[in-house]
Amino acid sequence: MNKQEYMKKLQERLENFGKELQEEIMEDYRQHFAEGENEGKSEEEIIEELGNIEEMIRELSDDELPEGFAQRTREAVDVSEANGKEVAETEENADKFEETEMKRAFSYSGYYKAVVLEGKVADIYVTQSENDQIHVDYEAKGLSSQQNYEYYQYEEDGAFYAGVKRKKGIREEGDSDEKMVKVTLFGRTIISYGTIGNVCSMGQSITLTVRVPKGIPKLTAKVGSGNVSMSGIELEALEATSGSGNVGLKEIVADRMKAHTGSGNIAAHHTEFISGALETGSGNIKAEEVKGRELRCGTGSGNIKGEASVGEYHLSSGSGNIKIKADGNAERISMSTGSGSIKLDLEGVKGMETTVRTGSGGVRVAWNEDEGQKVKNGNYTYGNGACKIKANTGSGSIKIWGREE
Amino acid sequence: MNTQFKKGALELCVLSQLVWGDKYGYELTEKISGEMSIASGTLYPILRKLKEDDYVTTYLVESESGPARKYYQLTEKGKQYQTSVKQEWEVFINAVNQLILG
Repeated sequence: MNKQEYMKKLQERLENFGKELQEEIMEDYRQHFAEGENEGKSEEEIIEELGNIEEMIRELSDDELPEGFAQRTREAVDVSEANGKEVAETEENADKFEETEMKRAFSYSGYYKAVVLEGKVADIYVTQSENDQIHVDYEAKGLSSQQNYEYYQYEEDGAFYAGVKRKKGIREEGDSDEKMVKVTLFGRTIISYGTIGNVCSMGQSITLTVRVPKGIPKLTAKVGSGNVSMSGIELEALEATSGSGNVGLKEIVADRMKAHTGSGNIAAHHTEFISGALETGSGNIKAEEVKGRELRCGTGSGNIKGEASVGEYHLSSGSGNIKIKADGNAERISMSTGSGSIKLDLEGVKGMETTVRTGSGGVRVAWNEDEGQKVKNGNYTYGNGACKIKANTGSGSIKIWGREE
Repeated sequence: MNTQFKKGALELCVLSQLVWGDKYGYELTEKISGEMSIASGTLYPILRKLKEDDYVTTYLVESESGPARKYYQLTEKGKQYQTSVKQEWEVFINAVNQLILG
């Protein structure tokens, strides 16, 4: 089939639709042919790319009713009216529940080798205690019908545990709250698993604010759909995990630091560590003014952005961009992304050895100059070559800017 | 693949592409068909629908390659919609991953 035949067929298949729509789709296809031809593609290639006309017509028929389908339109209206009624009733019922707010405060003293906080749907905030006690403020707001969670605390093997758990009787057995999932996508419920209490529902929120003594050996905070935020703490090891919420770390001094979230973002500010790992499934990672020996950042599809003074960097993203500012402490920087771009600014180094590789993007490297040189995939050494840099992207571009001062 | 699902996913892809700047039809279809195998033609009805729902607006720019290029631009409503659907998508992916991993 050539272009003329293809366009003729398109015209025929569009006949049942309104005049304005016909013209618009025809024009879209004409433009598509023009652009493709301009790029040197053959008519056959463009036709193959545009694909089966029937498939496009099916797509169109979902939204546009060809003439003669008036009956279907009326039915659609009836359904939406019925839905409207149902929604209104549900809202009325919801109003009958009381708005409640509950606040409680607890203090604990003793030496603990670990503090473990588990928040489920709650948000957890952790700061440093002004004395050697652990203080917990528990706050729950929302409709009384949704107060399905309660506070708990216990000690075991020298470790302190606190958090929220489902109230007894609301859920039969097991501690499988993480598996409670209700997911809507494109306006439909796709997964509904377990009883849904206050997961992302109207105004319900539980907050655990915890103050921990300085220098505790280990702090773990884990939530399901809530967020974790920590600030102003000095300690040995820290681990913050969220299923779908965000993790924020600010003014933390820790030997080992680990932050993980399934789909949220991670931000670390003014933080010092020996080894730091920030990982998210699909969110972005931001590290600002962080110092340390080793920094690892990994995201499935998000971006990585940072300004850090670290010895070793391991940065990887599935499809996002990587943008990083490093300084003279940098010895080894490895960056890789599937399809994003990579940009590195390196200030105050005696030299760098760069290994760059991209599938289809451009590469520019600058050493003590403002405008970078265009280079091919390969290995290049500048100055004394002290900082080893590896940059790898599937299809993005790479820019590496190095400077002695 | 379930057509509603596929359509929703494509809508999200198109809107997300436009977050980074206006694009014309061919540019969008090239970008998306570069990542997944779809008939480019099916994107035009989706673009039309997004315009009707006021998620995007269009404007024409004269082009050397032939007919004027139709650029798509995200509206404020479209931006908000993209943000919320993207969130839903992330929660969905996360949930699926959790269930797959048991």
